[in-house]
Amino acid sequence: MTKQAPLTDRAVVTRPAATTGQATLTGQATLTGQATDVLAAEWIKLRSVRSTYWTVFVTAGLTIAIAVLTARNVVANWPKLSPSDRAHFDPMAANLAGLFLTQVGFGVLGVLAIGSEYATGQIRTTFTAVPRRLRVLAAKAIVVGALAFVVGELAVWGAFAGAQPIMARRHLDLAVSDPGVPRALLCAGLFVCLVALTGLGVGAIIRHTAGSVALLFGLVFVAPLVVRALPSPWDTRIEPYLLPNLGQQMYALRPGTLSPGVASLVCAAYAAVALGLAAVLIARRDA
Amino acid sequence: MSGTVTVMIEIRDLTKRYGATVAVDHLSFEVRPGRVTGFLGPNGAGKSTTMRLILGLDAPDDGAALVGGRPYGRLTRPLHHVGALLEASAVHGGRSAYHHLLWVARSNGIGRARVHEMLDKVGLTGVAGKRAGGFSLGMRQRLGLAAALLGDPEILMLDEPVNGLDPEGIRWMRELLRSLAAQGRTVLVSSHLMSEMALTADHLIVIGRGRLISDTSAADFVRLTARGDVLVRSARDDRLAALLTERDATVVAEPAGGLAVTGLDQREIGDLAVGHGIAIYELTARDASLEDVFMEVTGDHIDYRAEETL
Repeated sequence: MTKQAPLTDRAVVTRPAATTGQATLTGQATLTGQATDVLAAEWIKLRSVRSTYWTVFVTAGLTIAIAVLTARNVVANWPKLSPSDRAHFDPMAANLAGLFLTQVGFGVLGVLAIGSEYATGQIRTTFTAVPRRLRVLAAKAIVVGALAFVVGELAVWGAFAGAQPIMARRHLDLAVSDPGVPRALLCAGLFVCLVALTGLGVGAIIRHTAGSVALLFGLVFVAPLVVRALPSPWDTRIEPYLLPNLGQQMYALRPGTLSPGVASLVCAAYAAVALGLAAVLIARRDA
Repeated sequence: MSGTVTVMIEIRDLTKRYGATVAVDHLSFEVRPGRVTGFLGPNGAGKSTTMRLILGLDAPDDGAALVGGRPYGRLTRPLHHVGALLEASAVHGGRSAYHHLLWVARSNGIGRARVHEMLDKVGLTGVAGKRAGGFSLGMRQRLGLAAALLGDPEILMLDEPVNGLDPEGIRWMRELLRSLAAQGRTVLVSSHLMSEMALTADHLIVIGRGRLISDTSAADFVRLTARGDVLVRSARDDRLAALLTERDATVVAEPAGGLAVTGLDQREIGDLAVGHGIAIYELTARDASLEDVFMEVTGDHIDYRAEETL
């Protein structure tokens, strides 16, 4: 344990015994230590507010509940479907029907992770404690991304597991060992994680929770309506690249316009652009 | 390195504009350790902006703000060197006081024991698990102070720390600041409460409209600019006023009756009245309060600025 190095020599040094950690001016030796400190601090922030638990648990619960309800509907309506509808039916899309809500929930989680700091003025405490702002943004991205991925996977696997017994009544059930199923479930969790990171980026750019959530809703709900109103062929050309449609192409068993791999990359580009722009702005703007 | 007392905060030609408004205008001053330095100015004078510039939260348009000889942003684990209380609301209302301090501590490698120690020091142990959103302004100030003290810093910078505190809290804060300075720390406290600064600060830096007005000891600031007057009540104020004016005194009629006289002392006024057979009912020497002095100095400054722009 190194002793705390004072900034300058002082004539009078009467100090109470401090239980502070190590601090050095150069910080070469403790660079990893500092990175860990910032990560740990961001994790404490995330786990110590109720909004995190509300967002995460309500979203995961809804994902599973919608999967069950959709499965019941599918099973009930199956006899009424035309042969062509039955041929085009994707059971995985039905199992993950709740993801249109899940993505919004996790996007809001990302927005709140930084938006609440701007709303309360706490961002100034954060940047005073950690003046290297990119480090703060990176730590937030890691913590939010990890939580969204883990809870996202739990929600998605839970939705899948909850729907199968009902789907089995019409022999529409899938097994985890069926081709494409593990990939689809993994990608679905990855998708909500990427939306959460996009939300974080949007929150850091806009710096207002309400405005950021509105933009997020626009991306998920409004953009598809607008694109559908475009003259052909632009509507069908742009549609596959919209955020919610990227998700569907990532986890659908039937191939979409984009392969799951390409859809994942484009989706990652959303998060990268949002976080990249946030990184540029966060370093330049006054806090 | 020499063992002499050095400058801990150095502001050099600092300038910050927000659009057309110049919030801080070529401001230069130094803050030294071992004493409480008061940072005074009316609302909008640029005190909070200056503090944000020192902490690297805002970027200056010109000049520099150095802490221990380097920009704040270059400090490693800065809370071990500088503790800052900016605005009491800079806390997420949904987080408990304990968790707020815990994340602040963790970000700078400070342990849990220190968090409990600081909660005790500011008297918030009993409400440590309560959400900060339900705290009174005074409790938030205490929480902010606890966060500032976490790293046992050599430099403390507090923006209006007595805001929202009850009289007992104000006395507690005053004694705490004085004891921190007595330990050799550098303490910079902004306030618009002149009376409070008169009791707390050893040194005063006064700014108005982003410019330095005065940088002197608290006692000298009053003495330098003091213009105490004498309140006189007499049987014939109008006659007395004429006599006083003849002797180059400045006389202003008080709204509640009587005359405010500057330029002559009580004895001279009394002798003059007796010489002309005017009965004196009251003759009171009045000291200029720090507020009066402050109003006068910043008022002059503002007038000067107004003329300059014409």
